[in-house]
Amino acid sequence: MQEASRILYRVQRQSAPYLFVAPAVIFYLIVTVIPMVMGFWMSLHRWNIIGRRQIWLGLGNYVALFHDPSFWRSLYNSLVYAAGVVPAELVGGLLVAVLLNSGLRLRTFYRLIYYLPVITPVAVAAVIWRWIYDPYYGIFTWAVRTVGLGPRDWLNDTRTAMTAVMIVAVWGGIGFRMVVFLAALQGIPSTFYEAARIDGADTWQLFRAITLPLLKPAVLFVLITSFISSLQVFPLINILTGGGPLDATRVVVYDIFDRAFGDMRFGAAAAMSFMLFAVIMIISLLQWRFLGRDVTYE
Amino acid sequence: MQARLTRRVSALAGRALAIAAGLFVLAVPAAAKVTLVHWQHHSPARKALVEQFAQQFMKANPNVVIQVESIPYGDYFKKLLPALAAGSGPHTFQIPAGEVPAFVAAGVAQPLAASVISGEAIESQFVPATIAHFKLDGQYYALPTDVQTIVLFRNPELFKQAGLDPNRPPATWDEAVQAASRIHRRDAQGQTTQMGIATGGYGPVLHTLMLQAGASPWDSAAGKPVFDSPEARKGMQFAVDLVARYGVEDPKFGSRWTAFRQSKLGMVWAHPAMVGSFRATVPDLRFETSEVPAAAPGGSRTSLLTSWAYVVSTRAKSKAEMEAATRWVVYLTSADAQRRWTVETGELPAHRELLANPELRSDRVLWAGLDSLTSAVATPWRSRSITEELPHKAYQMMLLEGKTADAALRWLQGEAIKAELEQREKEQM
Repeated sequence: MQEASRILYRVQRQSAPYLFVAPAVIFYLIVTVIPMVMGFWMSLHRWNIIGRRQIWLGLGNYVALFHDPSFWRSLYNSLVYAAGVVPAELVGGLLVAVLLNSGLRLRTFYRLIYYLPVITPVAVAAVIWRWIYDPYYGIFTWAVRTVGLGPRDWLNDTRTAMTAVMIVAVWGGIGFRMVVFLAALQGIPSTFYEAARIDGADTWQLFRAITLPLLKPAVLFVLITSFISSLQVFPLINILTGGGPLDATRVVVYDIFDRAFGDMRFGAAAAMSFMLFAVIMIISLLQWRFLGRDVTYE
Repeated sequence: MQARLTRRVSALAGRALAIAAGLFVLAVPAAAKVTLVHWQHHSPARKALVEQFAQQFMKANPNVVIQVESIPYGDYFKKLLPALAAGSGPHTFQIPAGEVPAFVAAGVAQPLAASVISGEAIESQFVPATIAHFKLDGQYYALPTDVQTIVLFRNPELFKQAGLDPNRPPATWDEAVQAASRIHRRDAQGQTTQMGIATGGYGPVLHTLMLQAGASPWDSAAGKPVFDSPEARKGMQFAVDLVARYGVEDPKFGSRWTAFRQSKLGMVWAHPAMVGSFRATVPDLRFETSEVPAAAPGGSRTSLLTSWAYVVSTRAKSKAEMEAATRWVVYLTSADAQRRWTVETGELPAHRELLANPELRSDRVLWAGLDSLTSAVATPWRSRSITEELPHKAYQMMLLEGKTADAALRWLQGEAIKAELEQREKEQM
């Protein structure tokens, strides 16, 4: 009897952790893993979501993508977008965080102001920015006119549309990066700065020798997450430019959406999703490999 | 004690019987009722009208409940396709006419119930061009709605201010440019403050201009679109010239609809459905319509005819559901309903008998749309992108990238053939 209860107790002890995590694992399986597997299966077919039969293509959709100039164009656009937005968000977020971490007056107010774009719904922000960019009456047009530039249809000009979208993305993204950097800055012990000041270090030396090295984990986090979110941008592009003009802002996720719901080519869209996944994974691994080597979290 | 127990048991049994009887009474009419979910893309005027139709239909058919869902156009297909795939979509819905064969091939649309309307009745009632894509394997799968051509809207006040006769619409392209030049105004910095005319680079308008210039956009023998022709180039060039050469259209001026509503635009090529939209949003706006101006004196006033289809989905499984759904679609496209569609939303009728309807023909702004039906050319292709997206891109190539009409239309032809082939492939799945 005692032996049986001991075995039961041991089984309970061993199974309890699995039972505790089971709901979360099952949920993750249902909403992430199973759709991923299904998406991959879809990418191996000519798949019409409402079709009766799906035609097996093997890797045909992937091979077709390699010969599809539209895909390369949208991938190029995504990379240009990320290359513009990520450094601007990183530097902007860091700059604002350092300023707000100093003894600035009304800093809570400024933190709120800088964080507001983060909680503004993308659709609302995009509509406001469309007004700002209005070629005749927009405040942006007025501002550039003061430096001698004429009116331009910023969102409908192949030369300016992508930059115009990137400005909106940076405006909306700095707040979140600021919070991450602010938290990291406040985790640096003040004794480090005091000791350095006693040794005669000036403000720039303090920033370069103490702040920056100790912010490396935060920088790495911001860099990787910003790259991922930049390569996945969609609502902003959808509302501001619809991928135009002439595909100048057609990024990969917009292309995926258009192929799936516009052309009903769900197999090709799924293949593009996995190609994007591969690109994101490669960039993240490279970032981790080259920037994460000397990052410690102690 | 025994008696009390017996009383309690009898009371409980009585209550159970009453509940069961109540459930039975409720269950009988519920089983007889048919609930149909109807989806369509949104416009304020159309939503109000379809909801009225639903009320009237339910009154006449007490066993049918119609649930109307009006979905913004941008989200329409994003919601419709997954819902149909999941089997949770609507019983009746609308799609562009050319898409009907693809939806039938996919097995999500079913033939209209022959017990409600026969093929002969459909053919005798509707304008042939509007039902061209609906008959497959001898059965009809849809009825037409949202029939659109292109007409020219004009603001008579701006005509008067420019010293033009407000009752005389331009008859040719040259006259349109001359009138637009007199209406168009700029401030001291050269910025447009009032625009002369607009196409917006909108696909059906560009197709209309190409047709008027004499283009034949379809090679029937090869079954593919043709845009690489001198006539098509002439039509497209005219649209670009309005901006780049004559300066009477300014894309930087913003939305042409907003400008027209604010009486800041003299003329605009548009679907007759904009009649309903203008009336619903700016009731005080005075505007007139006319057939589109011809490329040259005495030339063709033809325009592109586009239309949508009401379809019964395979979600309507039982005979009662199928018949009710077909009755609802027939009701929505009946002559009386289409008369109201035309009067209240500006959408053109597909019913033959309404083309000569004196009430519609005498309307100050509706007549032009009805007249345009007589010479309009129905979209011969099935791909939606050939109607809208691709010609707009070709237009932008010329305007923004300085490409020649030759290059832009060669590109358009290549992309259109590809799009049509993809559409036909969908119909095989």
